[in-house]
Amino acid sequence: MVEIKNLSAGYNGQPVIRIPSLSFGEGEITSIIGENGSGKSTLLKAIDNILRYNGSIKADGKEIAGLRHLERARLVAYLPQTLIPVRLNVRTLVSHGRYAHTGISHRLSSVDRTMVDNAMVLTDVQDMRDRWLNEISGGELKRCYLAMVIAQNSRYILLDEPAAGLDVSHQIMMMTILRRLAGEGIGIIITSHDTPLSLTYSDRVCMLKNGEVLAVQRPEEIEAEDAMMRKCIGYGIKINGDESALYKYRLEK
Amino acid sequence: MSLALAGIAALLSLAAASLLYGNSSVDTSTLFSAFFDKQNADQTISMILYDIRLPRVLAAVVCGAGLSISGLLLQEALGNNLASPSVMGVTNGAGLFVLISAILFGNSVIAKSFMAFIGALLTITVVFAISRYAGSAKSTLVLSGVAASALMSAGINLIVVMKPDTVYDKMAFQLGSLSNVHKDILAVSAVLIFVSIIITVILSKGIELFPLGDDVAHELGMPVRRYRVIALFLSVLFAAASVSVCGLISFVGLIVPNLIRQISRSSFADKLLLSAVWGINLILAGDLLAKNIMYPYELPVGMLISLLGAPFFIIMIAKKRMRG
Repeated sequence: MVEIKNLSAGYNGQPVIRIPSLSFGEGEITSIIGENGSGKSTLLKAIDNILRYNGSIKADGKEIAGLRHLERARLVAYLPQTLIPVRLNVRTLVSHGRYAHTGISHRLSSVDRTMVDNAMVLTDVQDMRDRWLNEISGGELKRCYLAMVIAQNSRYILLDEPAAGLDVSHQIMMMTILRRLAGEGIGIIITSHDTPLSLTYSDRVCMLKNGEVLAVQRPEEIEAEDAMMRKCIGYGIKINGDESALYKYRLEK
Repeated sequence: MSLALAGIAALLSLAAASLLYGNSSVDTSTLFSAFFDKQNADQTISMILYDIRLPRVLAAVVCGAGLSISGLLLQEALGNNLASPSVMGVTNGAGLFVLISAILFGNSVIAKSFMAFIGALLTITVVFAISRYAGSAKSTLVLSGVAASALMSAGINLIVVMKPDTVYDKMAFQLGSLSNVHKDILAVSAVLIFVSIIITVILSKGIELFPLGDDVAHELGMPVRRYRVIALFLSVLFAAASVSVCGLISFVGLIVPNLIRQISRSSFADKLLLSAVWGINLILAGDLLAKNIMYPYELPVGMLISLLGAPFFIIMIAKKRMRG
């Protein structure tokens, strides 16, 4: 479990988020929703200790800021929203996911290679393993980086807007992969502007507004929080009655 | 792999050519026999081979490898292909302090090497201070480097004018040359560069993560700030060790790593070794040309490489602009 207590974090000495208490469970997907500037990305960066924070963030009982870099990487993986199409082939990128597991030599063992191959199969990038990242599409790039963090085999995976920029079928594919990872006991925390999509695939929703948590709710109980949802993203949300609809939820004026 | 083999073949050929051809016309077979039988060789031939040509080749090896790797490390650590020891002012900073060392400590080899390092380190610190003050954009860093480089260059000119006896051949020093290489400084620099290469290879898997961006490198478990400081420290060491041997040769650290990056997509360790080999080749080829293009007069090798490097730099800026 990731447990947050009295957290504040921000930029240039100005706190962007102030969270007295919040927790994220293993084996479930939590979506953090909120308007631009509400502090979603800041929260993820604080959990991965990219941003220094005041207060406490513990993952499996260990204070994140007190962990060594490699130990932290084995516990928490993070994928930012903007990914760089570096001049590397796909397999090399995914292999970097094993950096925290390969000791001082950073040589891949047969176990590491198997994990890299499995991550590429899971994200359906195995056929492009020899292609170069600067020659593939944005959606493919996102899947390759996802394969990298899956190969990292961390207990918690934080993803900043994982579905942004993907076509609908790849959005569904991305969320299905995350559901499968959650099924294996990994705690997934994502930020999303696509509320119907994230609610459809999440176990819990965390609503942020101006750096503060408004509510944490299960998606199926979200209709009861209509006022809070309107305060959070400016629109209400309803459970979609139409069985043929792609998502279980829809936004309302 | 073929690039490495071609590089090594070119290196051996250029080194052999540099040993065989020079300003003194000596028969090839005489040189060969002197090379393999030093004891019975003619004293003049032995001097030409062991005191003039061999140190020159070894200086090319040290400076070519040092300047190229310095450029590669700067580019990787700063995520900026325009960064190089000459563009960032590191070579001029090292050069200025070599001259200051000559004023303060005379011909002390250790002092020269140490002061070159201090000068290079001080320059890159000034560059970062200016860049931080002016905003941390990539272009700001390069502009700060250009400004610091100009400042250090002014200092060099001032010393050369005010204290002309501090440097044996001021033109050779300012333009970069392999003639009159000091053997003791060469030995110190060779050891420094060899040890630094080993350290860089050990750290190569971490350095390889820089291009992914700081956030991704951090999340993978790399201590980004610590690695960046070490990489910059090593790049400064490579540049300083080179400058104390061959003066202010510019653009090797810009041209070679960028070309290697364009051609090869292998690991950082491979790029490092390829940069070293092709950096040596560039200096050896430039030196051969410098010795023969206006025979019997010799041009400083740094001047020829600058003639190649300046247009290369302009092309890179144009390409960056076209990419937006």
